[in-house]
Amino acid sequence: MSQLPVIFKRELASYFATPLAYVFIVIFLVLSGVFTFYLGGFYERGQADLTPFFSFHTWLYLFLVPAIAMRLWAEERKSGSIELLMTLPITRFEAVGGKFLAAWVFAGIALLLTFPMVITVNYLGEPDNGVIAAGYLGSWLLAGAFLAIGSCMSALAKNQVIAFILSVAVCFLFIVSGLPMVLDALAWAPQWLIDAVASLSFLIRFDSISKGVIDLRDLLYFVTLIVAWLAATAVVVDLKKAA
Amino acid sequence: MKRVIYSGAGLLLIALAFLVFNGLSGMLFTNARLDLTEQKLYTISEGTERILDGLQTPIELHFFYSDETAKELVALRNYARRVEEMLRAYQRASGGKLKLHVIDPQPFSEEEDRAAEFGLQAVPLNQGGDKVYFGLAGTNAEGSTQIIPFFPLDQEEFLEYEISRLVQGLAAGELPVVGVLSGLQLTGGFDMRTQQATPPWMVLEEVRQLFHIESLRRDVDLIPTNVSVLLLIHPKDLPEQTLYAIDQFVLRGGKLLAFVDPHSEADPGMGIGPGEFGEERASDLEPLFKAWGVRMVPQRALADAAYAMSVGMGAERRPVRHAGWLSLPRGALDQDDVTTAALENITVASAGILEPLEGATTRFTPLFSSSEYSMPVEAERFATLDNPETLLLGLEPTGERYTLAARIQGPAKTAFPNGIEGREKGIQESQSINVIAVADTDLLSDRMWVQVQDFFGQRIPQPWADNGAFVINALDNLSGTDALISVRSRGRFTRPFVVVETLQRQAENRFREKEEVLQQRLADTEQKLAELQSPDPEQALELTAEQEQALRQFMQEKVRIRKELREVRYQLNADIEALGRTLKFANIALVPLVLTLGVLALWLWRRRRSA
Repeated sequence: MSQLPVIFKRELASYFATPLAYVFIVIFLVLSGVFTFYLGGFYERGQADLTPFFSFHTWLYLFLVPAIAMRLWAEERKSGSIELLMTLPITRFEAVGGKFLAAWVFAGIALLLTFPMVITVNYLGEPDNGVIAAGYLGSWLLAGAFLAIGSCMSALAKNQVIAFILSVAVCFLFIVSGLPMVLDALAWAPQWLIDAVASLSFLIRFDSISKGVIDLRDLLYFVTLIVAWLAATAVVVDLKKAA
Repeated sequence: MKRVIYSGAGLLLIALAFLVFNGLSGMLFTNARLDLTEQKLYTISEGTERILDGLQTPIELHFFYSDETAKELVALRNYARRVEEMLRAYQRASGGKLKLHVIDPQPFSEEEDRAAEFGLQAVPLNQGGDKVYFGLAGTNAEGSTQIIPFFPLDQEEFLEYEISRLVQGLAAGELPVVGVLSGLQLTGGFDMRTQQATPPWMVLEEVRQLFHIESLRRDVDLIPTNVSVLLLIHPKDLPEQTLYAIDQFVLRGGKLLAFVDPHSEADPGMGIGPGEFGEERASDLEPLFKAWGVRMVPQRALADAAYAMSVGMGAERRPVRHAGWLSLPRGALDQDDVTTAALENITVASAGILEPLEGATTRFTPLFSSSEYSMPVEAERFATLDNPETLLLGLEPTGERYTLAARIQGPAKTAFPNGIEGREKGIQESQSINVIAVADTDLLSDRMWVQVQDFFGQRIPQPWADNGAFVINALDNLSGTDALISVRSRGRFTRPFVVVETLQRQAENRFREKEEVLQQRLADTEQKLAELQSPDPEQALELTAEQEQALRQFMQEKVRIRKELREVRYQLNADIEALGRTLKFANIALVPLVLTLGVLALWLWRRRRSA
């Protein structure tokens, strides 16, 4: 893994080399603010917590994170630079991990730039900052999960737009798998299967973390989900190279 | 191997590994969690551990949960898992004295009958008639039972308290006896004004779950010896024999929790409408208080600008702040007393003022205090108060903090040194009496602290203030079972925007006077108008030209004042709205703007450097 930091640095720097990254951050900040204040009624609620802020993150990420992830591999393949990357003395996992970490840190930076919200609730009242910290951690893990999926989809598709649409679709499945409408459709299935499907839902895992309790199971869920999708990315990159 | 991994089978393998791992971790790591909440809402507390340590005889818990039926209800399933884990944590912490059975009652099964026998509520899921059980029944060696009929999903923060309370109830064997002597209809009754039956007060229901209640008549001449705490509410014109009985009870070591009130809004009084005299709704324990070195300032209630509550004034009228209805925050409650230390807020209505008497032998510890922006007002004003705003208008803070509830402890003498007629002399003095006195009865009524939701015939309380917790805390503390207190008061109901509330208060202060002046001018103008419009019948019916001129002027004046008044009303919320706008800007646009400017600057700098 000695080359991973190199890839990570190169990728992270590349985000800030184009104005696109700034545009992404600006869109994220504006939308999250608008959702919190206008849809979530943050100010009118009069409660010093960040529930209205975090409650929209899942849906915000559904469209924004695949937009970051879509270029991870599709672009390399389209421009042909993937051939070069593959000839470098680095392993698949270093390449996949480095690219993912750079994107994840980038998402983390965007998330950290929402800091005025934390200042705002602390100015207005006496919030439970432990819960807020847990919310941020949960939100970042959620972004990571979306990114890992997006990374795999980007490796699958040559076209960025297709990569985007594919990741939105898969992420959507992971969101709704805990919703009654999906489970209703599974009424024929044995209980363990329904439980398994429900336990895959981002919504429920994120909810329980943002309540302020970090359960080892929820943490492991996000971590293993990220690892699994990254492993799948590595496999796909390799398969596609062969193809 | 490498070839297998880098293939379609590899993908399948990864998916399988992920699913298996998470399935296993779901079963293995049931108790590894980091609770980041300020009050450790999701961790077993010390109080619970103390209760479990104190278990003498084995207790069996039966957790009924319709796992099969609740297939599709993810929220319920998650909460059920949480409840089960909590119960397992109890079992572990009890060292084997507590045994847990998890039961999934199938429809028409023996288990379902069992659940019904315990009195658990099955909640219908859909039209089809599927029912979900999600409750807890506990039994002890003596065969007594306690239940939680259904765990409401939105009250997770009280989960531990509810379970601990059940365990405590089973552990104690016999419940402590609370004697209740009340001048208000706690058990429900008939409201003459609304012509409707009223349900029992929630506070009594809460007390009933932890104590054995013994109702006492108002002419009781001896408090029964099995009573460990006397709950005295609104003692209005008690006969001498009753006062004597209370006096003797307290002197012989009985504990007293007394609620008196200079104006009890919960007291229906003698009449039907508003406008009766306040005194009828007052209660006091004057002779006894005097003997204990304390008094309630007679005929005075407290108005407080800082703790005033907002009250609704009906449809189409904006809520106004009522300086007599107070929401006492943490800072107003004694942080050192176990009964109030962990409470968040208590609400009172037209509360009275308690004071220690000079030369008292007892110790007077304030439990609830007013803010410095308060003053005593005539209690009678509350009887005829149509517009609560007038209270705020006339408020001139004295700068003193008044006591609304206090603990009275220490040596005291009897109030009846000669006994009473027909009875021999009783106990003359005590080394230490134990009394908690509260100068408000309204805090006990449902509307001051709890919303009661009807959940399939079950009355589920949803408290929004700590009044109920305070009463239970006080009874627990006085009856000597206070392990539960630390468990109970962990939930924090509200975290209001303090800054907005302060702004509101300031704005009100600023505009109140202006509004008053304008209102006065409007009233004057209207009166003059009325005078002009209904001329003296002896005078001519026609208005003179000057009169008409004056009439027009007054009309214009009236319109103008009304406009100004509207402006003032509008201004009231202007600061709050302005703050809201600033915050919206700061959170939506500020960082993006700074970022954009930064990027532009960077770009310009780079261009200039490369040029």
